[in-house]
Amino acid sequence: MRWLQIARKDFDDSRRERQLYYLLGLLGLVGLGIGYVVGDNSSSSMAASEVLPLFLLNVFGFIAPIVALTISQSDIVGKRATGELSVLLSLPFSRHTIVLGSFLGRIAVLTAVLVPAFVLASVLSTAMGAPLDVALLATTFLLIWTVGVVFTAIALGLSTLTRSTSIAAGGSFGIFLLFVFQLWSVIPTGIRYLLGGLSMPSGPKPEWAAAFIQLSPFTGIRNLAHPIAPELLRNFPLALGSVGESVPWYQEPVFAGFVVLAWIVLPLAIGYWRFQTTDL
Amino acid sequence: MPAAPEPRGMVAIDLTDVTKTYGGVTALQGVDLTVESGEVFGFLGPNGAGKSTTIDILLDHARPTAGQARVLGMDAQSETVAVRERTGVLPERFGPLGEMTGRQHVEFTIEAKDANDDPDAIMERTGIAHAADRPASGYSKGMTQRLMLGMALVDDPDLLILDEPTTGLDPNGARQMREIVHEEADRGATVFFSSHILEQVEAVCDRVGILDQGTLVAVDSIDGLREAAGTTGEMAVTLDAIPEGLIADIEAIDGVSSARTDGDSVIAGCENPAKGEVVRVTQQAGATVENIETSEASLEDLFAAYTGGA
Repeated sequence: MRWLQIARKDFDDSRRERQLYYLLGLLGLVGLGIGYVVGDNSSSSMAASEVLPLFLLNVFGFIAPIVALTISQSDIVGKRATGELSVLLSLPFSRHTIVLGSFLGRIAVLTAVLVPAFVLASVLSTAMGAPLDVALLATTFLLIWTVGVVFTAIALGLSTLTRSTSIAAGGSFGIFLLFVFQLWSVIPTGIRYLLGGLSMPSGPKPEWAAAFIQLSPFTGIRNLAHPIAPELLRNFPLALGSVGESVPWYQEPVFAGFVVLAWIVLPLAIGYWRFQTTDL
Repeated sequence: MPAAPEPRGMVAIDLTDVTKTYGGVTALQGVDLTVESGEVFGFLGPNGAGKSTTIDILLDHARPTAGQARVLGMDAQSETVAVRERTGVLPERFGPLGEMTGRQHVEFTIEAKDANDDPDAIMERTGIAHAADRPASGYSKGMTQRLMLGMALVDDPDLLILDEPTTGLDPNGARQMREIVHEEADRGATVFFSSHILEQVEAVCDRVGILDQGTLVAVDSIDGLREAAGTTGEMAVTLDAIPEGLIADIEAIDGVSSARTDGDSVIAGCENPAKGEVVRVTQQAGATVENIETSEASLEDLFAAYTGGA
């Protein structure tokens, strides 16, 4: 159970460094803001119960990755730079324990700052007369939480992979551009441009390009959860493309489940493999 | 009669032909070293000799390019967690654990090692009890070092690995460090510590290994080391004038390895017991002695002695 000790320490570090409190305050304010806007308009056209979940999904779909990247990108590489990792690895912790414990600790921090924001938004909007769909709200939270877990895994993988704090910081900004800023969707076009002898691609999008775009984490999460909450995910701009009546193989929930799982497992596995095979 | 196989439990550290290269740079070259259980072993060498690399390999912070390292009878690489359960470490590079207080550091170590030490007693012993409730991130280098030493002492480890434990400590701290090493050795622990300062190693160690540019040039007892140091000690005798034939007379003294003149001075390389005789011979030759300076063998002189330079 040594990973639990590392996870607990990782969470307590966030508290002792006051990072946890800053995030609680900031995200709490965002939650209150959303609650107020939804509650304030509860008598108008925005009276439907999916308004609050939709708001939360699209605002926190943007915030959760930023929070996850910010709190995780320096978690291991930073300890490596200060010598803290030498101390931890002089105690009976394996490198595996350090990675697993840190991952769970960061997820705990993420959860601890997301839950109050969602609760504040719901309480305030309901108090102001907006309808509340608890099941849909829970689904929304689960979606945002999954987004956060995926980006925590990516950032922590990066933090484990490199020995340079600036590579970790720059890399996580790159991840932000790639998925939140959606540069991912441009990659197939770029490849087609290069393959076509530096001329702009024309004609219908080939299947591989369409499939590639559906591999982004946001899109994977959308495709996975779409059958459960279609009314919520019809308008999720962070996910690319849209889900039609009959879905192609690369939008099947099972396939999307593997995509999401891969975005969690692969970054951690690659980071850990590198960490395991290099000197401190 | 064939030699009886050495009982495995009696060897604390066993390096076999350990080589470590970083890119094209060789940090360690074919190091063979055995440290017996219960020994206080000093690992001596200038900065960059490969001391920390050796310690990194013992703790699996670095992997050897070739060769094998065993600690407490276990493979240093595949059984590193089990090794570290029974080892206390003061690493070369250490940073505080987040914003934990000193006491939280020791408590964290106690939990990790599943021990039942009293954190306050440990901090009392290493002299940081007064700062126990302050975050260690605000400690000075010397205080952090004392904290790390305290963490190393948790659970009475079978082996203590201390990388340059006295660097950054004031003379009083260095003395306390030596006392702790003695106490731990009396308890039966093996102590392996590195230093680039000869006197500190001399004061506490049973045996010493000398590492130079990645090669273990000597493993010797303190007596052996003293002998080598004696041979390379120098004395300079300043005279009003240098009499004829004095150099030859001095060279003839038992224990003098070399003699030469430098201006009005005679410089003799000699063992300590021969120094009186050098002065006596000089006076007998009719010269007036104006000044005598003696110098202890420096670490560099020792290397010269062991690598055949003297």
